[in-house]
Amino acid sequence: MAMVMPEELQAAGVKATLKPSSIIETFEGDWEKDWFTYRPQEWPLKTHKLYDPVWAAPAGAKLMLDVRSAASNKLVIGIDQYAAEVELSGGSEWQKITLSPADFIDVAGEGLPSWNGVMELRFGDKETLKDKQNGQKLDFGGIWQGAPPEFRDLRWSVE
Amino acid sequence: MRAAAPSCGGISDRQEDNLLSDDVYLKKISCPIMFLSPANDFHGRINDLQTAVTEIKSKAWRATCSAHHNHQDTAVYEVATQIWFDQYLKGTFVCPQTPQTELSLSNGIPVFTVRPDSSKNIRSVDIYYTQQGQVDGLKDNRENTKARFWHRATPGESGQALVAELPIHSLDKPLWFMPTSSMRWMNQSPVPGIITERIQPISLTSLR
Repeated sequence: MAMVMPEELQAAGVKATLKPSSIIETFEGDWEKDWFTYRPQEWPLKTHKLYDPVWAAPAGAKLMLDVRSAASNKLVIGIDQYAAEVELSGGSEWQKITLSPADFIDVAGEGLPSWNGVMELRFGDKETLKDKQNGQKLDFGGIWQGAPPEFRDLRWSVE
Repeated sequence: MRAAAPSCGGISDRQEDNLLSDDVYLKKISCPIMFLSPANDFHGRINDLQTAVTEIKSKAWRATCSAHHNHQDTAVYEVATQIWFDQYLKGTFVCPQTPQTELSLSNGIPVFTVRPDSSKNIRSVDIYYTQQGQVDGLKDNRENTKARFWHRATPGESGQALVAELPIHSLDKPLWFMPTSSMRWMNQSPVPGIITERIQPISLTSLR
């Protein structure tokens, strides 16, 4: 790894050309290289994209996503210490999902206050939130049925 | 000690007047060494790695840095340990050289040139870069270190080199960058006369 300091960028006349984007992920090409997992043999994935200024949430935005799952399942979407469970009806049609911060709850059932400062976004079949202080746990999702889900157009929407 | 492949640490614990700190040990390392340093590791921080390779006595070193990972690697990166020991303990492999790199800031957008070692079958070359690196000299912000996002640029061929633009979003933040070349190679099977392809490629990362 190497680094260039801001003063060098400015002195060289570099321009800031990368602009904020409401399209977070197209799920095309080598998109999985921008996500990560420690269990590559399984489909759940995580990304830090939402923490980058390019994909930070606009004010009042909702998180939107199209998902297709052959079988009915529960999709777990996690953000930091919060998670949401989404019912997938199953079939060949794409299912639109729209989520607000309050749809994500922590182990105590409290909603995510806002998108500000969120760091990690997770898609998975199941996860357990834990409170290290009091040992409380909250389970989301379950055993995935059928083929892994397909994703399309992860985006911020401001209406 | 004939060879080493430390994982996720040994580079960031730097305490003045402490004989057990990493910088003291690093200066005594003279054997071939492969650093396995995930790019978001909270414990062995990647910005300390380029210092570490100037402190060791050994000229034989490589690094493999998994983008987005914190304190854990996957097989593509872990295999670096095996090939390093294959080379230095068994003499059955020659590890590719660290990619040669060059950054140009003269055209308004940073342009990065990579010349990976082509002695092995190159599967892909990706350049990861971030503007979320900490350079304020304060105590490491652990949560930022674990969560910074590494943008990815895929270079195209330009003569004998691979070249990519690294568009940035701020002139007030530093630019940290690392090319990672993923290579796949043919491996001699334990059964004489049979050549198999290793299931996983290796990824090597340049530090300069």
